[in-house]
Amino acid sequence: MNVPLLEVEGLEVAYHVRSGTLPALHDLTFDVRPGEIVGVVGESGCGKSTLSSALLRLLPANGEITGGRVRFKGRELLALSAEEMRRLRGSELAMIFQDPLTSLNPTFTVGTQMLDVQLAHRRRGERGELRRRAAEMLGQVGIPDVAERLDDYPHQFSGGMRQRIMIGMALLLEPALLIADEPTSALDVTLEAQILELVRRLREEHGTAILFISHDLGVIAQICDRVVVMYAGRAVEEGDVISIFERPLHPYTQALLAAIPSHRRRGELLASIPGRVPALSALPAGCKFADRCPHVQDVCLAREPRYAPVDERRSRCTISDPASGYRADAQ
Amino acid sequence: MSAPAAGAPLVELRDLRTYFDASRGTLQHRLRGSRSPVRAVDGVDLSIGRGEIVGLVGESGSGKTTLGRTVLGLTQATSGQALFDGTDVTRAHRRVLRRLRRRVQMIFQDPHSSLSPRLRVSYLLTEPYRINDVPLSDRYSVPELLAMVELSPELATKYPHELSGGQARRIGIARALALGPEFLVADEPTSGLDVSVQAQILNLLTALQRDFGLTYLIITHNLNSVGYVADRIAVMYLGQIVEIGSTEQIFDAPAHPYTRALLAAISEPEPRRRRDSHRLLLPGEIPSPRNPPAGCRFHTRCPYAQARCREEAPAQEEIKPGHLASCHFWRQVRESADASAQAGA
Repeated sequence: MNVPLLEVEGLEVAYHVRSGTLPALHDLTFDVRPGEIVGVVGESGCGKSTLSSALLRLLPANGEITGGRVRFKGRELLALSAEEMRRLRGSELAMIFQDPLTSLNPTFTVGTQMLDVQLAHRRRGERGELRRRAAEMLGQVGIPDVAERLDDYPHQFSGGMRQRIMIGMALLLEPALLIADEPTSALDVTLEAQILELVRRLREEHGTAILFISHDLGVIAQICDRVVVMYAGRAVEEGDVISIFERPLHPYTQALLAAIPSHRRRGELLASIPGRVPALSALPAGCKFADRCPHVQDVCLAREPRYAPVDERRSRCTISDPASGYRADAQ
Repeated sequence: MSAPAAGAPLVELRDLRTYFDASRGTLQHRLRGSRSPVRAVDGVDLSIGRGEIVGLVGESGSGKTTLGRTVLGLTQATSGQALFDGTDVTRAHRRVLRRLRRRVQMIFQDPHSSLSPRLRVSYLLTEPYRINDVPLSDRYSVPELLAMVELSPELATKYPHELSGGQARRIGIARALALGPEFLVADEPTSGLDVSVQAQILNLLTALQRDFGLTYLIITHNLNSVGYVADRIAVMYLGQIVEIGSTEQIFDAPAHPYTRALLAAISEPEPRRRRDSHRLLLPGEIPSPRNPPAGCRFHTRCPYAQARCREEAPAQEEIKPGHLASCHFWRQVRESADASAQAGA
């Protein structure tokens, strides 16, 4: 169980733009074990979505993986040919998005599309058999009256149902890893709760590992086993979900948690993080969070902290790094 | 349903209804034959006291945005009254309405679609003055407006696309404040914002309320943020308010099964308090407001529904002073929920 399914090591991604090169991801390292739900959390522009595209090798034309390694089931993903990669996507590595309409074709019925997914990956079987598999999967993700609805088009389903169909389609070939990019961000809390419940159940029943990308700390707390916090293209903290939420090491994680509103905090001033996320074109030299950090020291401005192991966790903060000699100040 | 508010209410809604009639729409709609109207707001009573912050929550399709627009006279009411400081907005003459508009304003949900991309911030901020022919002596200056929303005066020369999401929200708020309103309707003021920016906007809204003595109706599906800012919360389902009470009453002692379900669905940032499958998970989706279910509108999704719920619409009942709910069985619901909470603990 402890052999990682996905190993990302020192991943570097850059976007080439007219004015130069933007470092979108830098020194990104984490892994996902079989059956594990790992959350990636961070604010707009932290590189979460670049990460999901890079893992599937679906970066936009001006994006380039400039360094690092990505191993999936021990195979180096970055070395695969385009054809090998295409075969992997959808069958072993699947992805779901915030907007299901981006991955459902409006001109074909749901049944046809679910048949095509199987045929594209050369699943053998009579058409009737493949159709039955599709219906069975839709039933599992909670679509009522499946037999009749298989011949409906995507627009005939409600938003919540489309989300379920997309999840069903992604799981049709029983992928080992599902990458979910903000799958509940456009939904009402009630639907969100239903979809999270569904994701959790699918993990239990199929053992699918999930990389769950979200900006919503509440959703991350509800569903993940482990969490990676990203800031300015870097992982700044990683740990099990309880430690991240109860004893965050990195000042950025601490600030994010303090900013969550709740009726229990009524009348208090919410802690907000001063300033803005730095632009990728003008990243500061040292710690990327230094100019917004309440604990900033001279050393933070001078050099970028290493992604240091702290007990069973990691943190990219000089002050929480036991080897730096600053840890006492932080306590 | 109205709850006592301190002093004379600034806003009072009486049996307010807003229907959208499909048969009066496009030719295509007419050819399809007369369909029943969409009952977006279907009999709402609500009063909001001066200086109060009332949160209006519910799922998409519950009618909250339509209610907010109807209160401001932006959408025509079908029947009932929407009184602002004694004047009925739904029947007021256009001239009266126009004067009223200076006292009531809306903060729109998506600032980028409500700010014209071709106009500079300085122009956008002063637009309300030109529209309303406000004499120069009564206007705030652009730097003053920017300062109100804690933005630097340099932003005056920028275009909307040069603003961050949080800055655009602030410009939207400044525009709403330009005419010195007393009452603001804010539609999803923090949706789509990152958590740190959301905190800044919520802090700003509460500071403005304090400094200018504003009254807010905050429309949102985000229960965490509304619980943080609101004094009272109204819960809406299929065009009707099913429960209203103080924020403490709603969060600590909800009476309506729908309110309970909404609260149970909040993803709390506490991994030790995970929602487990035993907790009330609201099945299905909100039905069409064209043909709302008979009896209690919530009965099709309610885990406590009984025969009576399918036939008879519940009347509102007072649970505690200021706390009202429309459920035949709220006592039983509360008992059984408390019992299962204890069993789970």
